[in-house]
Amino acid sequence: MAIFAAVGAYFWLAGALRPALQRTARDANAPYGRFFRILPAGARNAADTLFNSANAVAERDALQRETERLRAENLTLKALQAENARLRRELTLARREPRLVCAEVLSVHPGGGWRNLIRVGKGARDGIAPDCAVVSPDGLVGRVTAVTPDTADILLLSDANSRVSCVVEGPGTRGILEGVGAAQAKDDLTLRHLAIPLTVDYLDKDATVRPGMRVMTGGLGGLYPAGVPIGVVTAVRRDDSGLYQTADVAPFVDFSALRRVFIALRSGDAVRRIEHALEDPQP
Amino acid sequence: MKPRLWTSLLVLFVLVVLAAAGQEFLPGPGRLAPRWEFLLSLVIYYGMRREKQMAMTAAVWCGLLTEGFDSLPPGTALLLFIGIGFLCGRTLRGQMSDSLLSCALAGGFLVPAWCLAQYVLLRMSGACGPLPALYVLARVLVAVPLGALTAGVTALAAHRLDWISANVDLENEYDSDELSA
Repeated sequence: MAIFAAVGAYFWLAGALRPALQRTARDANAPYGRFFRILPAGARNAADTLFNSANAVAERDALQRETERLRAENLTLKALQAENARLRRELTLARREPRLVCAEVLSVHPGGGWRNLIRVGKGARDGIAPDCAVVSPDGLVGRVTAVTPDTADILLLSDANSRVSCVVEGPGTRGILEGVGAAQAKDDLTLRHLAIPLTVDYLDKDATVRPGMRVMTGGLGGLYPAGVPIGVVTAVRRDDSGLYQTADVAPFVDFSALRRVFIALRSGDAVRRIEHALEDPQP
Repeated sequence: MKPRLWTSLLVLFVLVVLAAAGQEFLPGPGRLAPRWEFLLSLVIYYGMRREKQMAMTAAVWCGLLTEGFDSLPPGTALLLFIGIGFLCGRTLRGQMSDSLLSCALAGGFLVPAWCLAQYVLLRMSGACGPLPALYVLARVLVAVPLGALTAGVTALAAHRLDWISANVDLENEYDSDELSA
């Protein structure tokens, strides 16, 4: 009897307590369940992040390399474009003036470098003679001084011995352009660069010469044709004597970067055609 | 080892051709030093390190080439090169040790002297206009280290070529007993 009562009491108690027991047990266990649910998910997310980051880094490196390659290619293309434009201008000049002999510069500063000379690979065999004018698409370069059958020495405008009759475009005043041994006249005047511009002396003291005016050849003397561009005035000053003005001129031609020049064979027609060829840049 | 004349001349010819081409066509190190003086460096090497006959031959060949390339007054380059070859062979050789460094030292003062001499000769002949004194001084001063470098390198190359051609002996000779010991 007692046993039946005990069993009955047990099952009743279990039934009565069961919901509470369940609630307590489940609620107590719930945090652990959440933990074990979050843990693998987090690990999964971390693994995804790790591997995807490695992929992202690799992708970034690949894009960086591609960008650098494209930048280098772009620079090369720009250089090719510039050279193409320069060659087109030279070809245009050569086509319009058949008496211009195109010559490649072989060496610069022969003779120890004290004279501003260049040596080109064409000579007497091509009809070149001393005192032929030498031009480039940018303007006047100089004149031929010495000739052998296959080479010619050209005295640049920047040489201290160079004298050219010139005219300043605006007021039309004439002067004598002199070189002072400069190697390049586009930099500032420092000993390191030795950029001494050309000078034009004996300009009329009353002429209005201003920086920015173009200087062209005057045609006097018969060596150089008239109207060939030389450079642009950068500064003007009155001479100490007060009798005339002197102007500093930055040449259009970069003497340190000459690769090809055009030598005008001496004939009347050739001289006239050079003037037209250099005035009209259109092909 | 007695040097053979024909191989010496052949080596000299090759060196002179290379030196002339390098001097004319290699771009110089800068505006204050527009070219490398390889021909003069050869004369210095032969004057300091080889026999008198070879030194004079080198001086004449290099001088003639310089006459042809440069626009100096006729005969001046040849005479000066012969004088430099004589100076190296007679005077400097006895004062300095027999080493390639001596060639470099000799180049350090002979190349700037030659540089200045060129300017003086060109001014006297009227081929060169007056240049700023500071510019001339700078050119000459820059020629000191460059002359030493050019002469040293040229001497090294020429000596190696001479040695390969059996025109000169090794710098240091080791006794066979020492090697086996």
